[in-house]
Amino acid sequence: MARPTLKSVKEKLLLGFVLVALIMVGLIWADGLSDRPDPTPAYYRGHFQVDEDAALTLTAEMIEYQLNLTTTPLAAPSQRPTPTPGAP
Amino acid sequence: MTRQQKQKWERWLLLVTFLLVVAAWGYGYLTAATNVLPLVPDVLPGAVQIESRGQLYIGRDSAGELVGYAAVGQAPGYAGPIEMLVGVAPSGEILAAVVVAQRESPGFFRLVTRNDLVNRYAGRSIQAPLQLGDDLDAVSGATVSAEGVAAATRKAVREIAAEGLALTLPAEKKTLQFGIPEFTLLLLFASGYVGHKLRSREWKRRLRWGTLLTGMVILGFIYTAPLTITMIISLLSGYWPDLYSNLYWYLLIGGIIFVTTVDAKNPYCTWFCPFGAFQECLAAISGAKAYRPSSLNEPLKWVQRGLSLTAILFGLALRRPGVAGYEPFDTLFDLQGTAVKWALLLLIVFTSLLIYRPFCNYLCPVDPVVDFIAATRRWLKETWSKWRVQPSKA
Repeated sequence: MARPTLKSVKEKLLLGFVLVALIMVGLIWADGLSDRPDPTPAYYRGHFQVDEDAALTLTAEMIEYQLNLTTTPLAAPSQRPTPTPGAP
Repeated sequence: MTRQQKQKWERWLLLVTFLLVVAAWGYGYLTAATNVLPLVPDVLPGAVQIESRGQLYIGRDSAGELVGYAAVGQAPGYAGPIEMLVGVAPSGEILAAVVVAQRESPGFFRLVTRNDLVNRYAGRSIQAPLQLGDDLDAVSGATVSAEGVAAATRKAVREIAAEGLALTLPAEKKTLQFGIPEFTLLLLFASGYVGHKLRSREWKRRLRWGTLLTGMVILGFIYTAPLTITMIISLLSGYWPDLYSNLYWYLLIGGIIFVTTVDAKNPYCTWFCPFGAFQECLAAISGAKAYRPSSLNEPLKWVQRGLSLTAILFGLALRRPGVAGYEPFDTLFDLQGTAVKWALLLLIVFTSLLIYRPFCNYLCPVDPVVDFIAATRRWLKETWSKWRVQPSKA
């Protein structure tokens, strides 16, 4: 079997460098495209509808300039578990 | 392939490249508009009715009471215009400001966002200077982008003052900024010109090292102002920055195009490109030599040209010059960049210790642009010569 010459190894390394660099360039472009501008902190809305009877169970998530809140209604007092004496 | 066939083939490619650039430009022109209306309630809190009057948006609440006025201001940033939508109360107090559109490199604009510059307008009077370095803190590392935000906000405020509040604000003073980077650039162009004419190889070598180190230190590490593909895409897109505050941009781009077109020489890459100089310093330390194997030379040249063309088409079609740039210049000179940019920089640094200027020879998007200008120049010159000969024969 023919042993690889120094020349062919160097050529392969050069090709490897270009290939890896091209992949990185692709990743840089993808990163730039996916980089949505951070929601600018100056804006606020004065007309949120807040349900006073709802308890927030998830952290508010900023999507496309809109608050998306997932809420779960509070359990009625009769349905709440009764604390067991002696339980931690 | 004979020389003539090769030349013919290259000219076809020049033509195709030109048409592709025109098509990308047209696509970007037709699709780059931003719909501002949905953002107006964000700068006029409480407004439920929005009425448009010329360049002005007028917001009213549910009772029909005037909430305020909003307008868009546009000013050049680093890679293209920055558009700001600003809302102002009838009392002249700025209610809020939002960025409507920007074409900056993500890394630069993140600095502006993190700096909270946009948020600092709320509560200020429209009669305040609203100037960076005056009543607003400058943003280190993204000066041009931050200045673009501030200037666009001032323009929007002026529009509202004039059209909505019937107020005349004092005119802004503009002074041409000519400082160390502009002076250095002119000096480097002049040195390059002299260097090309020098006959003594030793003096030429010394002068070249002088210009390279000056370029690397002053234009690179101190001012982070190397030529980038973003600048070229901005030029093609028509996103030309403000002459008064960005004379450097005009000198750099204009100087390179002028010298390449008139003298058919590349005055930048070999003489004072800061990133090229950095790679050359690494090669001088390690003793790395140029490596262009004959079997790969031609294919890799076309890969580099393809990469450059892709960046240009991408930047033009999306009208986002800042996103198309991939050079890790800001990562090296300003220590700003994403993880991938750092990885690319490290790869180039490592390879520069083994091969002479690997980025310039295989990846740089600027070199193919200079090649394109030079090839077009040759073609035009040849066509002109033929055209001049033919009438005289007739």
